[in-house]
Amino acid sequence: MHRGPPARVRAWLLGVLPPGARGASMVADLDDEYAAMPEGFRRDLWYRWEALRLGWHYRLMGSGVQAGDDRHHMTMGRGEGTMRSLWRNLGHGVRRLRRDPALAAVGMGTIALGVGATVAIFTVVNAVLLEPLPYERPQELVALFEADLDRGVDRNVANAGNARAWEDQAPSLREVGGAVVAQSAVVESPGEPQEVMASSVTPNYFRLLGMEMALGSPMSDDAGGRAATEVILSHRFWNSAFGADPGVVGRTLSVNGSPHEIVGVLSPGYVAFGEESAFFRSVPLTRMGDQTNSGRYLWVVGRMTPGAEVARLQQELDVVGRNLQEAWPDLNAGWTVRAVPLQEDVVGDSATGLWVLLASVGILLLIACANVANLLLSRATERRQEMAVRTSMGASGRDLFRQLVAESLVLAGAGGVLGVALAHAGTTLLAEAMPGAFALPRVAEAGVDARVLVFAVSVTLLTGLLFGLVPALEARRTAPARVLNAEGRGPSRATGRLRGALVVAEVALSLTLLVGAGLLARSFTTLLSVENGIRPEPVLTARVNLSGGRYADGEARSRFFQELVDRIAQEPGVDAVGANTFLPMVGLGAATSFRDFDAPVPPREEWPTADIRNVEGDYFGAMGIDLVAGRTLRATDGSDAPQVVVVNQSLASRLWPGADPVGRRLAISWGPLEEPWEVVGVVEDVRIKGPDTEPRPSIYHSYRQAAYFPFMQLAIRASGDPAALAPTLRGIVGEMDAGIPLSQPRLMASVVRDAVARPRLTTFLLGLFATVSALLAVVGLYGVLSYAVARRVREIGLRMAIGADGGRVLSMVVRQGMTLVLVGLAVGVVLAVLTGRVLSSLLFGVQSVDPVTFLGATAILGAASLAACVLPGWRATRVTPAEALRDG
Amino acid sequence: MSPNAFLGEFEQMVLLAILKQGEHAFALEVRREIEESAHRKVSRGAFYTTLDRLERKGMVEWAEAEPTARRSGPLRRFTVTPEGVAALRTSRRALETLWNGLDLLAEEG
Repeated sequence: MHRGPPARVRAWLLGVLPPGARGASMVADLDDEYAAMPEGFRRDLWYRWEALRLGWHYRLMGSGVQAGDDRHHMTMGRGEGTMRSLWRNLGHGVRRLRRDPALAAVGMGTIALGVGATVAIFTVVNAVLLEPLPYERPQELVALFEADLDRGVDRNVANAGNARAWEDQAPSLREVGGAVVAQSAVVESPGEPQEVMASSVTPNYFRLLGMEMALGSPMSDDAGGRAATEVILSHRFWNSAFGADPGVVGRTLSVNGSPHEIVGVLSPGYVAFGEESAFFRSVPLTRMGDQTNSGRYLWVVGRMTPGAEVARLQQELDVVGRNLQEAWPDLNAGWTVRAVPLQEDVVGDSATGLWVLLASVGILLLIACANVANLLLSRATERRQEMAVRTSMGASGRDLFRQLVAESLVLAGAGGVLGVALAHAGTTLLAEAMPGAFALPRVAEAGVDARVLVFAVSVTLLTGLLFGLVPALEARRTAPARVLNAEGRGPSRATGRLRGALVVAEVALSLTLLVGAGLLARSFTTLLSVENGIRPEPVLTARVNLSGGRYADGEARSRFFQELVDRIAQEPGVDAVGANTFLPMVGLGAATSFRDFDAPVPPREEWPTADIRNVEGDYFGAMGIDLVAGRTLRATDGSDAPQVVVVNQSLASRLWPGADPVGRRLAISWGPLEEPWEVVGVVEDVRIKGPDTEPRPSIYHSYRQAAYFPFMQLAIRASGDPAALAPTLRGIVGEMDAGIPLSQPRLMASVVRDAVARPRLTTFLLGLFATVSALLAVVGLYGVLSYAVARRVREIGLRMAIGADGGRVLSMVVRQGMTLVLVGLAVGVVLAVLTGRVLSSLLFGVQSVDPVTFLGATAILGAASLAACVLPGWRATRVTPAEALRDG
Repeated sequence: MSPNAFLGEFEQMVLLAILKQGEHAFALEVRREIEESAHRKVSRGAFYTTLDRLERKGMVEWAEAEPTARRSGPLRRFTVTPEGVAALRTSRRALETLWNGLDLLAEEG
């Protein structure tokens, strides 16, 4: 079939070319050449390209045709292409800025600050929030959780049998896969043994997400069989541990003492739920009723059938969940199912903070624009003569307008380039200064992509228009005759009003930012002063993992940790030493349900949940957790002694309010329920998941009676510098067993600090932006007043000559400035109240309308503004009549 | 002599190509003639705008010719006006004057 040239581009070309036979014949020429070419995709591409080139040539350069061709002539202005005139104006702008380096430096610096901050934050927002997850059809992916709202659990990991039942019974769900995350593992290949984080995933997991293997193949499908000894390396671990060796597939990796075959290397990219993992083993998706199906440990990802909706899936899962509750009450009483779009879950609670930061840099940029606009306005007043001369020489209002806009664009462009460089340097610097502060999901992927580039360029152009338009419009309004007349050299009334309005806006916006930053700062200090229940200084912590053949049973592990703790205790400089399976403030840990052993048995869904911790040695003493009643755990609470536990205050007051908990007994659903645990002591509450979480009931076992986990975290309270103990610690562990790695030696103080890393970063950045904004606003105010004073030298001098004293003059100038400031502050307070509402979800222990913050921010900005007014005012009082007359 | 009589190199090539094509001086043929004899690609936009410019200077005229049945639009046949021919002559003379005495040098280069 014969097909004609691409119709749309052809129609466009006809519209762009000169009218009549002239243009039509050019198109027909092109059509003829097209018809002579072999058919196909390349011919169409060629036509489009040639048509665009020809069209743009005419559009930009102009045809230069005059006779009977008005339409065309109109778009070109004086027979010259728009593009050419733009270039000319831009060139002029560059020359003009070179002549005025002060203006160029201040303007570019201000814009660079605004654009830089905005682009930096946008880069992060883009990577974390906007960029879809790097998976195949990511909109089909959901995270599936179990929830028990009565017990305050809204996103819990799931039981594998339940997950399989969801897949079988919910029609909208095509497939589920899951991951068991944050397993620590000791690997020995290649080189020294080291402890790394690993995950186990169902064999279909990567296929389900749509992630490719960079090398080798995915795991075998039978998780129980062949796949049990296979591992997939993460791209990062492959790089760091194997130096990106392409021959790694087929080699052996010793994991916890047993050999595994490396079958594949994952392609780079964010791994939902397993991002921190060095490698992946397999875990089977058990069925309900299987012997091995117990407990909740699986992070579940589901892929919906094409076109299915999350709301519909949730309805289906509600039904499935009810069926599972009835069929398996022991496991499922009280538990429901919850589906969340995977993207939403991954981004989680970081979204609000990021949007707030982006909005605040947006405000910073607006203030920067206002400042530069102000600067240009003051220059514009000086340049009115230049403009008037140009006008009288024949330049039209439009010419002047174009010229000024081009100047602004040059300024903005230079500032923008500088700003992007600043953004890059700033984020790098910040990442180095605050490691761990960027613990945002997917932030590692942050970088300059097309969207960031488009954003940076549009922000820059917009900035240029924003601050350039005002002075340019002003210039058009000015009549040449008035200006050339010497009397008209002062600033026009309208310009003065405009500049006043800009100052009001700047003050209002920066007050908003200051209040926001103040609220976050107050919230942050509240967060830091929260009683965590521990005394983190001077405590050293480190992790020891016994995973592997030699310490297969609890007895052997327990003996190892007993000896380790004993030997450390004998070292000089150690005040107290103990160990716990999980560190407080890290967020990770084990939990299970429990009840009063001697009370009537409540229905299963009403059993409360407690965090379970297993301790060795003098853990409470080392971590600084105070004993409230009874005794702590002792060396005599061994495997052959009666089963005892220490509980925290939350648990005691929940089960036995007002009564003595010591001597009471608990049934704990971790081990046989018919064997009770006697409470021998009560310790104060510890905020296990960070300072902004409420304490929950906790149960502490002796590790000697419950070696549930093969690893422990040492806690060593030092009499001197705790960091100095790290080599000693490493030495002792090495002497006991050279195959056991000591990992993550850290000061407990830094663990606590990291728990508040994100609010710290948000507070720091918002504080920085607010300070810069306030400074810009104050400088802007100062500029406006100085200028006004300079313009009124003659008037002031005359006043002084006829007897006005310095005080009067000062107060006149200050009054002029402070009127603007007060209006700005009033508007700012209203804006800040609205902003506070947006911020409220980020605040901890502070009201969004916190009077202290509001008054403080207003006072600071007011005082700074006053200083900015007094300085020019004071200068005004130094004017002598002689000076005033000379200046005229 | 009017300033319009000075011709750029590309303008000369266009005029000469039109003259050479004679009855067949349609845009496509003229452009092909230039490309073949000068061994260089000619941008469509530059070519048409040059034709427009030469027309404005009064050196080129065009009239609609009878197009073939398959052609999608009008067909222009270009002719060089006497002014155009005069300008070509002027340019050639000027160049020849300049070239005089430089033949040896040119051959060595």
